[in-house]
Order: sequence, then structure tokens, then C-alpha cells
Amino acid sequence: MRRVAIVGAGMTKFVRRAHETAKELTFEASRLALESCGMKRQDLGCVVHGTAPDAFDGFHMKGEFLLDGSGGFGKPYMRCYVGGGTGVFAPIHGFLHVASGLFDTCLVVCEEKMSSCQPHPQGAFISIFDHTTERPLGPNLLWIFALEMNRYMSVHGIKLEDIARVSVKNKGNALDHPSAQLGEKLTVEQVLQSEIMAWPVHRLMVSPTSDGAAAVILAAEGVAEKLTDKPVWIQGVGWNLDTAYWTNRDLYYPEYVEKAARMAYGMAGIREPSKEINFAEPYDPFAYKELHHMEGLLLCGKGEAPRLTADGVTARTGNLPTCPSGGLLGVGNPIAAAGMMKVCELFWQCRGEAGKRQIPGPPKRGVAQAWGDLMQVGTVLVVGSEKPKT
Amino acid sequence: MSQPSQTPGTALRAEDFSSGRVITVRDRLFTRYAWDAGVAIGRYLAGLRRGVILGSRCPKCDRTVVPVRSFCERCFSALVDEVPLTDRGTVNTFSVTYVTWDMKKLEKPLIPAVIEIEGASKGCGILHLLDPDLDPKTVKVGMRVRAVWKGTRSREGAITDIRHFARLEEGAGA
Amino acid sequence: MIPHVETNQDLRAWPGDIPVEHLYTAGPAGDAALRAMKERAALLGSRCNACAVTYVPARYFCERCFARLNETVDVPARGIVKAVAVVSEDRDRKPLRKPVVLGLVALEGATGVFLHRLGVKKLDQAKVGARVEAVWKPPEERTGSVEDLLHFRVV
Ligand SMILES: [Zn+2]
Ligand SMILES: [Zn+2]
Repeated sequence: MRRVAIVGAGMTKFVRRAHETAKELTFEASRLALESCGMKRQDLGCVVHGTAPDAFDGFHMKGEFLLDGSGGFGKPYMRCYVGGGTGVFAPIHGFLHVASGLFDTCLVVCEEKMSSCQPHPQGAFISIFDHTTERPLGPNLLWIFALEMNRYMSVHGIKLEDIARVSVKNKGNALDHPSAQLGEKLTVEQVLQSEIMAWPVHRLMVSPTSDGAAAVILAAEGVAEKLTDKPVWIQGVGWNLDTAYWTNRDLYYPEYVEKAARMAYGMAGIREPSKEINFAEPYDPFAYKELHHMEGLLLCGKGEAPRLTADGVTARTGNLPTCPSGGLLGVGNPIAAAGMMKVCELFWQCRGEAGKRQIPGPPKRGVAQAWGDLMQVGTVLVVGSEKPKT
Repeated sequence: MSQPSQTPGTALRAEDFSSGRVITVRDRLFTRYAWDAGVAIGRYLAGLRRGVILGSRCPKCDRTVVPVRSFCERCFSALVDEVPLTDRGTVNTFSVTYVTWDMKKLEKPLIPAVIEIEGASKGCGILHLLDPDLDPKTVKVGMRVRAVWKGTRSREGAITDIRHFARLEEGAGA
Repeated sequence: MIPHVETNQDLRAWPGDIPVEHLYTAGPAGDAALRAMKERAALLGSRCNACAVTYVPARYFCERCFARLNETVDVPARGIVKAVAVVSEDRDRKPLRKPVVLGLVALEGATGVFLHRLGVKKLDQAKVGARVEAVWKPPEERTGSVEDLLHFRVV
């Protein structure tokens, strides 16, 4: 396999309702990513598009529909999709395209326009439950998050305050992100006093629905160095899916995330993730998910993530800054684009270009992770300023 | 080149729609389905009609799963042995939900739970609802529960043939 | 090894739907094009000089060279029929009372073709190569929709 670097990145604002169409949002993110490394659409070897259910935007064959805005017209083009995990799955696809030697460069763009979906995007989520054994009970997406969160809290004796701290941190971090939808200075009390939607989930522990797009450009070794003097190398990729029989496994721990992480770390030669990784962008559509995923990513032991958060270790100034971008809780959650936003954050942080969000250093190595489907998929990407050995 | 401080993307407000400042089109997908229950779940439903919760036994993995399925997703062998389980269980996790999927307030909260069914292997459960008259404050992970069935005549071979799961009182149904 | 179904009680189908409808925005360029139809009974296009292409209706970007398109042009609402289809059933395959005639019209000065209905008295008037022009709804009936254009008629 050839070594592959991220050489450019771009994203739109994440907003509740965008005026721009899905294609136009996709175009803006793609254009910015191309401009950031001085490339033209015509220079691209191939294009990968990541986008979640067609039912959100309300276009079937959404990948094909968004082709023009993705810069994929007349080129080898591929859409990929694993629900919320798509945002990190798409760059893994892009990596494989380039690492295989098939292409020298690849634009990877992710988009979602959830505001099109009326009366609420949850209408599309309902159909992820089994039609015969679960849907007649009237479930909605909040149920599975609430059930998983309660399980996680019950097994480890975690308190609501521990979870609320993640909302405070991430929404606070997002104040410094120019694309953020919900940057806000909050207190733990405010989070705990917000409406209970599905106990133990409070409104301020939930990411918003959003419209937006984000993109990166990947290039092979030898090409990357010509496009930028600061390539950010992909050191490891991993993905894994657990069984869809989600009531037959213990939700307190995301084993599939651990498996994906071990795959990526093995490739990156990482033995002690908590020491060898400088910062992390775990998937945080709900506040507890950041903690859950830090544990799955082996950045701390099981049940230990709340303490790291309380001790300030995961703050931007801490030893293991986590979601310095502001995460999905703060920047917003246009499903596939949200995971890609995390990959963009790794790129900007490793290059020292994250502006007010910059972690001192700049950091040498970061991990991004996304999650999705029926609490089922983990997608992991490790990047760093050092070129991988193999 | 750093991330630009001004990024594209134009946020709209409700007034932009109501005033007609932006032009919109409304449309509905024609998405009516008839989903087959299938072979294994067909049997599971027939069991429910008889007031029995059925699982499947994988001898190779020494594991009993619920609901019935035609293959073991671990060892990938075909499963033919369906086994009756009890209609009692333990709350593995639960929620108290106050809103519907389209974010309308529920008049009375629902208490969905994952219930580990006694007779199935540890950790194997189903999604169902707990007795809505339970005081949510008294619901605990680890609480033992039993199925409350609809009357024989009104059962139709559906997951809703179990009305809900109620607290199993101490000393009962051991 | 799929076992036989022994009684029809083993068969059960679950009716359901995915309860979503969609509210689409037209975006900045789409808004301008639809407003031109409503307010001026005009077809608005976008010009990409680099690619020597005029898109109708107006677009936000050029998918060829990937530039943002800022220059709009009025394109004459007339052209030549390139393809015809006569639709005699609705989407549930019920016969229509009156067939709908669709045409792909190559507009003068635009790249590609434009899809709309052809307004013809007799089906044999709808021919490839026929010269057609737009018939607009009266101003008070126009809403900012592609339906503001009633059909193309043969000239
Ligand atoms: Zn097995
Ligand atoms: Zn052009």
C-alpha cells in the first residue's frame, strides 16, 4: 500500500436550515477543500461521497444526485454509507482508493440536509427498528440512546453531572469554531435543568439536527508533498460492525469501536493509545457518547472517561484534548458531514491552523471516530504529522 | 492556508419560509410497505399468540438467543431448535420517555426497557415496555419483571400480545 | 434450507410507512430562476464563460469547471423539440383521461435540453424537430414554480 496524506480541507457552516440546496452545500465544501491546496476539480483522480439515509434530504440515489456538487462529474465516483459512521467511513474509502495505487488524489466529501425532512428527521430514523418485533411498540431514536446511556451509567455508577460536563465542554469549545451552530457558554446546572426528553437524556445533552457539508483532499506520497508543505498523514484506519440483534449484547461498552480502534492502532504502530495519541475527536451526538467512545478507543479504562472529563484532562488545555472542535454537540450534526468535520479538525489541529481552537504543540497525532446504525458501527481514523513507516 | 473564518452556508429562519422570501417545494415520498415477518419471526409470533416467548438454541455456541432466528450470527450455523423460555425477566436498562418521535409531548410517559428473558443466555433480551402505572422513580436496572399478556382472544400473533412487563413481586413466580 | 410454511397463520405481513415528507429549498440560484418565471415570465439561465455553457434554469455552480456562477442571462423561451413522450397512465398505472405529452426542448442559447409538457391538439403535432415556444400562466396564477410555464406550443 502507498502512504496517503490529507492535503486540504473545507466545510460549510452547520445551520439548522440552510438556504443552499444539498448540491450547493456539497459544492461549497468541495470547492473550499480544493482551494485550500490549490487544486482544481480537473486535477482529481477520483471522488468519494459519504451521505446518510436518502430519506433525510428526500432524494433517492442521493449519491448520484449529489455527484455534480461533489466534483465527481465524469470521474470514478463512489458513495459509501454506514449511518452516522459514514463521516469517518468515507475518508477510509478514499484512503483505500489512493493507497491501492489506483488514484493519486481523491476528494472525499460528506453532506446532509436534514431540514428537508418534515415534520422531523426522526420520521426516517423510526424505520431502523425491526418492523415486526420493535416498531409496533412505538420506539423512536431517543429510546436507544436513553437505554444505552442508562446502561452505561448503571454499570459504572456514573452520575448525570459527569455526563453534563461533556455538553458544557463541547458547546463551549464550539464558540471558537467559525462553522458552529450551537456554541454556547453553559453550566452543568443549566444542562441538568434542561427538559428531560427520554430519561436520562436531557435536551442539552443532544446534538441538533443540521444542514451542512465538509470535505478533505487525499493525495499519495510523492504527490502530497507537491500540493502542500504540511501534509497530514493517515497512519491507521479501522472499521467494525456489531450484530444488529442489539438487545442480545451489553450496551455499556462499544466493543465494535474497540475492534475498529485496534485495527487502526495496529496499522499505526500504536501500543499505548492514551500516551501515543495527543488529541481525540470521538463521536458525540449525545453527551455520554463522547465518554463511551473514549473508552472504546482505549484512551482510558472502562468507566474512567467521566473522571478524565471532571479533572480537565479532556479540555483543550488538558493532556488529552477531546472534541476541541466543539463536536457534534456544539458544531452541529449533519450526520455524515459531522464525522467529516472531525476529520477536518484533525487536519487543522495537526497543521497548527485551528485558530482560536488550536491545541498547543501543535499536536503530532490525533484520532477521529464516528458511530452509527443500531449502536453498531465504529469507524476510526488516526492521522499525524509524521509519515507512517510502512 | 488556514480554515477560513467566514464559511459559506446561509441560515434560514421560520419567517423566511412564512413570508415567501425563499421559494420551497413540498413533496411526499410514496413509501407504503408490507414487511414479511419471515420464517423465524413467524414462529416467534405464533408463540406469542399461545402466550409463550420462544428463543433459539445454538448448541455449537452453547447459547440461547431471543427472539427466534434461523441462523446464529456468531458461528453462522442454521438454527433449528426453537425453545420455550419463561415470560419473566430482568430489566437490563430502561428509559422514561416524554416525547414522541416528532417531538410532541406524551400525555403519560412511556417506560421502554431491554428485558433479559429468563431461560435465554445472560445478556439476551428483548425491547418492550414496562407497566406505565409504575412510578418511574421505583424502576431500577436489575428489577425482576413478568409479562402481562392480552386475553387469549385478543392476541393476534404480535409483539403487542404482551401488553407490557410488570414488576414481579417478591416470592411470586419463582 | 427454508422450511415449508404449514399454515397460513405463520404468514404475517406488517403494513407500515416511513412517515416523512420533504420541504425543499431552491437555493439562491433556484430562487432567482423561479422568481423570474413568476415575476417576468422569463427563463433565467447561468452562463459559464470558461466552459462556454449556459445552464437553464440558473445554477449556483458549474459542475464542469467547478466555478461559482454569478452571471445570469435571460434565455428566449423557445426552441426545438428533441424528444417526445406520450404518457397515458398515471403512476399507479391507471389510464389518464387525456394523455400528457412531454418534450425535451433545446432552448435557443442554452446548453442541453429543458423538460416540460408540449401543448398540442393532435398527438402527431408533437414531433421531434418541431419549433415550439413557451405559454405562461397569467401573472396572478404564477407562484414561482416550474408550473408557471403551462407548456410549450408548436409555432
Ligand atoms: Zn452459534
Ligand atoms: Zn464552467
